[in-house]
Amino acid sequence: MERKTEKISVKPPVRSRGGRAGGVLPGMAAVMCIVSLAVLLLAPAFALPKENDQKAVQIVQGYEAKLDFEGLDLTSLFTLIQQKPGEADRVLRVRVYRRDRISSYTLIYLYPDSEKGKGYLRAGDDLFQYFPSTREFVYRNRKEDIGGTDARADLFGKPRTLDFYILSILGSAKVSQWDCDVIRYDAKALDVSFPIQKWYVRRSDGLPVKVENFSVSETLMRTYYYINYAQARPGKFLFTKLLAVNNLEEGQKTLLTNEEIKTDKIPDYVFTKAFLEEQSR
Amino acid sequence: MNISLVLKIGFRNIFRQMKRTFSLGVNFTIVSLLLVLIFSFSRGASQNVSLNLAKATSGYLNVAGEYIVQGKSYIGVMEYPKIQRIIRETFGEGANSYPRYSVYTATYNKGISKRIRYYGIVPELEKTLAGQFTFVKGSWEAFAGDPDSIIVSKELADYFELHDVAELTVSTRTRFGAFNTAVFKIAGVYTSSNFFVENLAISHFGRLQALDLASPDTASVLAVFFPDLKNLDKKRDALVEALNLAGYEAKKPKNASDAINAVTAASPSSKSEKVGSPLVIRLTVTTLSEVLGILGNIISVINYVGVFLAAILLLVTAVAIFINLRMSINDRMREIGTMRTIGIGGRGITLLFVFEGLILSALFVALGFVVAFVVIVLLKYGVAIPPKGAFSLLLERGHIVFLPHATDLLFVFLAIGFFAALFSFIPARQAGRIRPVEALTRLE
Repeated sequence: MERKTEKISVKPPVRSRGGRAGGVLPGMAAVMCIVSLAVLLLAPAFALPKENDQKAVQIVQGYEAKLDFEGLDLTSLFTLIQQKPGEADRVLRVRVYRRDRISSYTLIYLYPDSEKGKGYLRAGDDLFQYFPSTREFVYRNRKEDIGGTDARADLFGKPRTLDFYILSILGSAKVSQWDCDVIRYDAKALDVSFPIQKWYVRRSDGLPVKVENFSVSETLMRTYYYINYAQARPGKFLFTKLLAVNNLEEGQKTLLTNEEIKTDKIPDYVFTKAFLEEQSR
Repeated sequence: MNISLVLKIGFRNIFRQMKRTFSLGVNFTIVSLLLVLIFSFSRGASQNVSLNLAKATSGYLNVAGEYIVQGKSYIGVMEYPKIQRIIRETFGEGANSYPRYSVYTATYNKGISKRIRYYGIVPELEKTLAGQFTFVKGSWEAFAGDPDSIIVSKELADYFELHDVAELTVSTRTRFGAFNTAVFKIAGVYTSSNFFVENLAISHFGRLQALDLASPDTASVLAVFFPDLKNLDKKRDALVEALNLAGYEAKKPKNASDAINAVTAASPSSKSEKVGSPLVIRLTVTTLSEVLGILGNIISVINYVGVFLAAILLLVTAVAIFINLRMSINDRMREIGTMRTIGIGGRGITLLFVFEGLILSALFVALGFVVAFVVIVLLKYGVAIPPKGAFSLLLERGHIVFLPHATDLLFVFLAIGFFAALFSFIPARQAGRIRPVEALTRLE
């Protein structure tokens, strides 16, 4: 398993210097205001590739089709083990109910007892976190990490790459013993957690095996290793083992295992807030 | 009735019974000493805290706020150069304003991580802030010369074990939501007796702007300074009016927590807000005392507790005066009878005893002032206290700050005098009503 801290370049895409702030002339100030407003509105467009690479799109659509369970309901049990140096391992167990047709999932904590009853409900772009102690739903967004681990909330749902990123091919690389295509993701807007990503997609089966997440300044922040997959239905795959490595916090990683995978129909009310409230009683 | 004669007699009578005079006088001295110390301390603490805050992270006025672009609201002061121009036009060249940028971010080194506040300044402008630091390693000049550098407090340097480390990695979620990272070089490690800069990491303004992906004309706050602290409320009102006339939505903070939130908010992710215009800039202008917030309240509480304690002491002293005078009158019955016989009326007797109380209070309050000044000098220049924790708020370079003021001294003098006069009058009036025959024939 490879792990590295990679820094490609330092300059952020939008701007870099404030300069001398106290001595701006009035005319210059007006020009600066107009320019900065334009930069603010158009900044993402300046910094990024303009069009998708069609081969990259093909590869991504290929694996997303395999990972997309549209038309199916999916229930599984995830175990997350977070390791931090100098601390005891932290274990979380969550059950996930997923319905990609409506871009929805419900996640409920089963273990430990201190977290039991908490959960998340995703409905489209909205993500709500439920706290049984106060019986309230707090609005989150898809950038949230589950339970403070290195696993993002959008790992549990349907991928929506082309909505948020422009894709380009970087070439090929070897991950473990597998030959992979390397796809670069550049965010269309800076409202995603990791605006630059690199996906290593195994050529043999078209499934991702490694994902590197970079910050705006292209510092490697997290690496996900998709260690194993299971075939839930013919042509449909779900990862059963994933390792999330925090590249900034030395030694911190989270292992996710996915078990008890079922594709039986899930009652509709499971994808409602009422279900989460009921589970915590 | 000859008032000057009564005064002379009263003055002489004070020294006739030294034990009684002394025991009562000590009360006056202690009360005046305590009152002067309390008032001087609270005035000194209030000014010290305000000035320390102004030398650190707050201006005399602070302009903070939010701006709304394309339906998304962001924390910060957009168009700050234009706002600086409005400040100059409103207050003239005597007002200086400095843009500052604040980011609250995760910092990493050798497996240690912590979220700390980075404070971005323009080093060439912020000479007063520079004076707050004593460098144990590196220098201000090294920091000012390198835009990718920072200076950190010794506490932070010890926490991150930065003894031989030249760089720190930071990661923040920017105002748009994307993560951004930076590597800062450590140009200096400092200590400071100023409580408000104890645990800061100071960076360059432009570097933090870039880290947060803010536009070039955006600051977290504009700190405005004047030659003095007078009339800040009026100046704030004038600035709010000028900003509203210029097309901004400027206002005062609703309450203390609104004021503190406006100034201390580092740039979080944006939130959605629908407005009619493509760009709306909302500004909140706070004064230094509003930023002090709960600290100002604590200082006021110290004041009130001190005054309450002093009131109790005054009450005890008042009772002592009353009892002392009653005993004195009983002992001097023949004297009273003799004075009444030779023609001094009841009013004269009353005045005599009241003047005795007043002169006694005046003399011993003056002594109390002298003792208070000696104590203040000793504490201010002689006793050095290590500036640890919140107590350093009250210290100026390791010494407690006392600011005795003429109005406080006058108040103490008059208050104690009033008490002395009032609680002397009651038994003195009774003495004035005693008939001469009764006074002369009363058995001792």
